[in-house]
Amino acid sequence: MTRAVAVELRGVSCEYRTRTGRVLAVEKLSMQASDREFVALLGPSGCGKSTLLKMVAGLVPATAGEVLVYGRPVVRPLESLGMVFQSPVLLRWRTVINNVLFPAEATGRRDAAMRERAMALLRLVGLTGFEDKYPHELSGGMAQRVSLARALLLEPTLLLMDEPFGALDALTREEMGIELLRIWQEQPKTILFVTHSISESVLLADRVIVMTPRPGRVAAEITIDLPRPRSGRMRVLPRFGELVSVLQDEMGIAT
Amino acid sequence: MSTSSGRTRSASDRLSFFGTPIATLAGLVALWQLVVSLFSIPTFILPGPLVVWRTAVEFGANWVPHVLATVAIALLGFGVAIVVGVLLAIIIVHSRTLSRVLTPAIVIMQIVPKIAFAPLFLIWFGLGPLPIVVVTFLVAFFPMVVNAAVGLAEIERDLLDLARVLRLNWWKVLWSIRFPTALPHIFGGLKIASTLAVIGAIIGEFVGSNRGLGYLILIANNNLNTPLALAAIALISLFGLALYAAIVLLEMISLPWKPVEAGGLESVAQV
Ligand SMILES: Nc1ncnc2c1ncn2[C@@H]1O[C@H](COP(=O)(O)OP(=O)(O)OP(=O)(O)O)[C@@H](O)[C@H]1O
Ligand SMILES: [Mg+2]
Repeated sequence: MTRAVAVELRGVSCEYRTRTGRVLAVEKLSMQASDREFVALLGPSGCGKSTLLKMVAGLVPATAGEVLVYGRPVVRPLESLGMVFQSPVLLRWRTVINNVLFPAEATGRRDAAMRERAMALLRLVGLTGFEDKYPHELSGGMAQRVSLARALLLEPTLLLMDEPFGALDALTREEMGIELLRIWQEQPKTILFVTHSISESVLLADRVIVMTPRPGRVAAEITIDLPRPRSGRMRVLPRFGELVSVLQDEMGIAT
Repeated sequence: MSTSSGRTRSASDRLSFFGTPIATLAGLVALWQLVVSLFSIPTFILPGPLVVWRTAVEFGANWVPHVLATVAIALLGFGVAIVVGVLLAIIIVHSRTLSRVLTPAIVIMQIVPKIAFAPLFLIWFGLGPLPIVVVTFLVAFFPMVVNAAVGLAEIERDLLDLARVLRLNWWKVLWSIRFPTALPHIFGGLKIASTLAVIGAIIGEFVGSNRGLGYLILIANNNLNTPLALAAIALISLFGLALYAAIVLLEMISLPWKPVEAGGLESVAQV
């Protein structure tokens, strides 16, 4: 597997400066993601996962080291970037469909075909019939799914997802994960996927990067050698269980 | 009232929404008439509502120029206050340097008793509507700037991050994110400013004018024509109420995404 490197972090640190002091969120972290690879990031709360995604997105500057996307240093968000934030970040004065269409509108690409695409994405995330609702009429999980549809609208080649399924029940969560894999296979893209769920990371990813508690560094990298296409039934495979327990060990969870 | 999340107001809710204040008002007017009749208060001190009503009707077409003058001045001053207030707020939110210069200037302008300047405006801007419009503007614009600035600055960090991921320029951020976020605050400012604009116009007319409801009150007072003065005050109140209602209506139309709040007085509480 000698694919091009899509995302590369070299000795990256990130320190936040606030009125109350400094917080070293990420320290000398190095990692890579190949083109079209699905990489999951696992780590305890506050270890710097969101910070890492924001550095790759070009939203937060690294205070040391280099962040490269397709070989170029990141200074501002790239055009081909799709991002699902940890909170849904919907525009509360726009209906669901207009939230999904916002990226197209903002870049002057809203047309009938885009609208069709937005409707198809809403169907995909199970929100048909909610097009004209306002965000305050949605549940937390529904809002998250809208933000997922929005991130997919412009077919990004690099997709950064920060606990996108955090507010979903187990069943919907798995369905959405499998749907995401389908989209990923249809329109190849590189995905960095932050999650707290070990089994979700095993189910979806090519590779799982485990981070240490803050300041975040790479504690372990585990390649998930389960066959594709993946499905929920793979949870019963012995290999699935092995990988889960390896990751549990790495996370320091007693089994 | 317990329509905390639902969009629709029930019929009985709507009835009490409009009905209760009207009933209260009617009760007060009846009480007023009762007190005046019971204690035989002389008309030039306190005329009853019936006398006021009769005087108002008799005055007939004479009202027209006065009402038009006051309405025009109040609306003009209010309009200028809206435009200047929102523009200043945009500048304050976008430039830290200008904000450091403007904010103290605006606060000082608010603290200085503007009404005391009204006679000076007559000297500076001459007789006519201009000095009155200036007073109206000065009285009304402070809540506009403050509310608009608070609203425009209120944007969450995540929303700004989204804007950056979508590579929006500052104008698009202003128009499609900051402005809609600020709209509820701007409406709060409009409600306060509208009531102040009417007051500002009347005070301006007190100081120097030859037309308008404020002017009419002065004349009526000089002639001990208390019923006419009260009728003018009632018309001013009616105009203020209509302006306020128009803003509330506009707010309901432009903020369909805002969940209906419980009372209806939340907006008045801001005043
Ligand atoms: N804007 C900020 N200003 C200051 N400190 C911050 C900021 N954002 C994050 N931090 C700090 O940086 C550290 C890492 O935060 P980050 O959000 O990256 O963690 P995380 O791994 O995403 O956590 P979680 O799983 O809870 O989302 C935390 O200690 C947090 O307090
Ligand atoms: Mg996070």
